[in-house]
Amino acid sequence: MSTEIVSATAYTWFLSSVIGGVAAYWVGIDSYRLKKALAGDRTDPAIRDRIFGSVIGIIVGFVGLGGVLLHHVG
Amino acid sequence: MAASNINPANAITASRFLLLPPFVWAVDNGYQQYATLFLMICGVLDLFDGMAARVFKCQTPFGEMFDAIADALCYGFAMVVVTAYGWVPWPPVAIIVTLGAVNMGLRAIYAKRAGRTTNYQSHAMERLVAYAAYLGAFGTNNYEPTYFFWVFAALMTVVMLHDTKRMAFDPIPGAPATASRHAMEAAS
Repeated sequence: MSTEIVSATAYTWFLSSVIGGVAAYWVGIDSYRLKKALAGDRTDPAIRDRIFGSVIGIIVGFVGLGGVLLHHVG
Repeated sequence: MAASNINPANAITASRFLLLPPFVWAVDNGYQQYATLFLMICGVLDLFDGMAARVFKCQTPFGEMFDAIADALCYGFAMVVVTAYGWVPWPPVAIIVTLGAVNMGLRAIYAKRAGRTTNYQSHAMERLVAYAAYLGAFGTNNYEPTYFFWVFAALMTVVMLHDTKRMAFDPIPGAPATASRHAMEAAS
């Protein structure tokens, strides 16, 4: 049995595409969710949780994009 | 009629555990790509169990809890395995696993305070669980593991501080009065 499925280079680019794509999606979708949540009643604990969750989601997205850049440029 | 706990969604959730032995086999043999593949299948099944619960209308409180436990066990186990093989730095993994164990304990306290089987909903933790699904792949492929694991440990610390207050102290929506009273008596 082969030890690898595809070449190392192809695999690295596959991972970068998936990580970068998902991270960019997270930044986009959580920015939208944050905008919606901020328009709600901020005294409601559920809305506050959504705001906090969206901020964390945006940070996670940028961390993913940063990791891809670090891997290819750093 | 209440949905049974033996249902297609929970079967898919349980099937995720079957991927752990092949994952260990792949890591043990140094097959990085296969190890990642097994983790990716685990992640895809995580998407499908929620979908199956909606399609077959078999959403149960146990199913929600089981899904959260499966997430913690599968991703936590993958992290521990890649750490044991020296593929990722151990200090952030120790922090992550410890916080994960504390989180599960607090969820149990939350369910006890609520007086019913319930899964604590945290949007921030949901984002981190999705991130955790990637950590295994970062570890199995030497894809900036130091950066990704340390950032995750820092983010998880922040989210845990936030969620601990909500799970252990804040009022629970819809909690029966007796459960709240018992919690207050236990705390005093």
